[in-house]
Amino acid sequence: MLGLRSSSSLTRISRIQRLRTPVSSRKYSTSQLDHVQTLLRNSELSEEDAINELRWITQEVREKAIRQISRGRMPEVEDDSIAEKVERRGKGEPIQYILGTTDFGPLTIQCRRPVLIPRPETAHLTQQLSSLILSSIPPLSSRDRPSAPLNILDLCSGTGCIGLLLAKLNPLSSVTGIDNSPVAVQLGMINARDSHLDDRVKFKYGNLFSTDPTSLLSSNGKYGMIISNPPYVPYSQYQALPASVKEYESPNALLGDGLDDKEGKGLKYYERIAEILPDLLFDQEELKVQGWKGVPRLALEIGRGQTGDAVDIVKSSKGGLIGKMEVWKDQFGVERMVVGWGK
Amino acid sequence: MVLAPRSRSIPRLPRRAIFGVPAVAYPKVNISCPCGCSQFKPSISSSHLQNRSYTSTTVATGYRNVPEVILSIRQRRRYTTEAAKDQTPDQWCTEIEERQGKLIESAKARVELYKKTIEQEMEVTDVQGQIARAKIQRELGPLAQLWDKYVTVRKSIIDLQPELDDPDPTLRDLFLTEHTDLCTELDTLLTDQLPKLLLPTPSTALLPCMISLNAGVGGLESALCTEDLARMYVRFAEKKGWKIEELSKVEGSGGKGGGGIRELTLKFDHSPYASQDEEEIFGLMQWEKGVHRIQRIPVNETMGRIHTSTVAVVVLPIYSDTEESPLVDPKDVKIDVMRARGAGGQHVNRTESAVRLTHIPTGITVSMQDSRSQHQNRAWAWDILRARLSEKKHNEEVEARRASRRDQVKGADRSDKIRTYNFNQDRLTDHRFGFTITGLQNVLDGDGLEDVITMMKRDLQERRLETLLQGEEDIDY
Repeated sequence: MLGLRSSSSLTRISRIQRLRTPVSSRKYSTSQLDHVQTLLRNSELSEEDAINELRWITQEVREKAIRQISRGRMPEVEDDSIAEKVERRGKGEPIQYILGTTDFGPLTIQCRRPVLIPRPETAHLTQQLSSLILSSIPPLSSRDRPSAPLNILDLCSGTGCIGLLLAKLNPLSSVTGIDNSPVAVQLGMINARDSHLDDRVKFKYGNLFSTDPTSLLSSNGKYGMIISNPPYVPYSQYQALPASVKEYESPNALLGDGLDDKEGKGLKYYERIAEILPDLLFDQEELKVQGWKGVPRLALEIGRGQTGDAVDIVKSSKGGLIGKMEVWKDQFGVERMVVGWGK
Repeated sequence: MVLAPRSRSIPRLPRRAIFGVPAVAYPKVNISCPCGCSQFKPSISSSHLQNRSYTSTTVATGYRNVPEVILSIRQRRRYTTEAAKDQTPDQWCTEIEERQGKLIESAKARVELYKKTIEQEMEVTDVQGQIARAKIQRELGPLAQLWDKYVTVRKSIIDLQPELDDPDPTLRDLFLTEHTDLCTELDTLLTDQLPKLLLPTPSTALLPCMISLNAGVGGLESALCTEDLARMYVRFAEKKGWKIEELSKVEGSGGKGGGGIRELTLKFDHSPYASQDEEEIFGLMQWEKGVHRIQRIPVNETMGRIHTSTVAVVVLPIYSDTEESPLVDPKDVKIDVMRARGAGGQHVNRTESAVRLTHIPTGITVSMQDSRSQHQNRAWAWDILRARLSEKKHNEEVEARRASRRDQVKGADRSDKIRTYNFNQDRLTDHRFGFTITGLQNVLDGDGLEDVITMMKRDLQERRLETLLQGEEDIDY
């Protein structure tokens, strides 16, 4: 009886195995196509994007597995891991959140939900700004050379990408990043540590709209330059944003008038920055003394169509710190940044 | 967003479009070679070809420990040096000297050239002539010194010869020891110092290289073959301790590791811990360019038939882009940008990682979107652009040299089928050379490849000697 049972279970096992082999091998060869189909459920992706992203997901999963193995840990099953990520991407989640990183110029920046994902336009303009700063300082062997590091404030720092890139490209600078989201501040610190820039780039919690702007000052006091990529999307446009932005990134990082104002043009942050400018920037004379004469004082990223308003706001800023102004286009030809110099 | 038009079924641009590899085609079958291939004869005259009798044993074992440039030569001795003038011309002092006869002959030709320039020193007055003369003197000076030393050593050996029959045993022993010492000195001079001076490693041989494998005809099986060859090269490079970088890879249709490789581009560079100016990379890998043919029963073949598939291999040297000899002016390169799409900025969230470079003077275009990082793609695209410009520079150099030589076009064109791997007969045949070795797995594991390449190098050395004998410019392929 016992023998009979065991033999029948053996037959069952072998039958299962026989069944399994062709089924799994069939799935194996078509899995790539299946994944592309799943990805294409996300309407933001073209077929070419889907093929590329599947490759990137596969590469990332494999690299992660290698990292885990090298640390003596058992990696996740590759198929499951890829399928899970493809599923998430198909539902619309940004690939930067799924894979955990994005590149920002030469830096690799960690991305965590719901902190705003760094955009390529921002990277392009930050690099442009950085090369302008580097070209405007006198030769390091001359008498006029900078006597102190350039103190930069990155308002609404998010992942910290802007401040980190500026510090990376300009060794003679120290950056303070301020954000009103504790998650973002923590992420900024992680990114600073990963980029080995945590000695020159600090992040702290701060609210732009608090009644006491001096809470935004660094341990060294006022700043030589302010750069900011504040929320600038008006509520009217927010409704029409693609799902990967609207559903996954924090509205606090996007809405230029805050969550409650539904009528504004997305300019509240620019107005506030212009208002407290004298509290944050030291005057042009001191900048000259420190040897940073030609450096811009203010750089603000703006949305499409906000150029005129933003320029007016900065022009009418208190203290008369900003004299000359320029508007820079991004790599796609859209006016994207307002840059102002001292008088 | 879309940088290059691409068909829907093919995931990425085939690398052939970038490297310009000609489509793989079979040469017409010629009955002359035992393996049924059309035998490729490099620049060796037919009389030399007969002297070659490389069997599997000599390649696999016999040559391994022999110094590289000892050339076996079975031709009639034609040796007449100044030192030997007062002797019978056919007398060789040592066995090694006889084996190195050809080398000595070439060296002598060079030294005579050197002496001629020294004599002409007074006659040459124009600046160009002076420069050319100074160049020859600088290049050949050390060789001439070594040659004088050789002549002296040789003369003393010959002078010592009659004394070896001295009746006094003590004196005879003394002379014999002296004679042995001198012969050893002569041998070291001939096997060690002379080849180095006469046939210095070409500068291109030391360059890092880029190797690109493309699966040819044969569907999935050829993708599997490409994977096997790629493994061979990677293991070879690992054994050499080179730095290996994967620039791009297209996996075969089977998906995730099971379907072979359609295309793979690797960069082999000096290990950061090794000395940069002694280790050959391109010098070894240059022999791999061409079409490799693989004959076997594929793993997915159910009827047991032998399939033939091909893999095209391209090897490019990477010249360093230094200030003295710039390869590419960044101003000449156009970096394509995509058109604005919508509001951009915070309004959308897209990944722009594809990079396309166009070198305006040559029209070379490189597209790269393998990585998610645009930064990485740009670095790789520049690497590939530099490699392609290097290839152009290299070809121009080779062409210029060929044009100056009397007999035209030696060496292989890259479209030639160069090698056959036959699994059923466990043999590898190199068609440029007409030699066959067994122990295929050993080669595919990267160990045996060294032997195959050594054969090619030895052949090159022999051909270099020949060109030197004819008073021509040195060759490197």
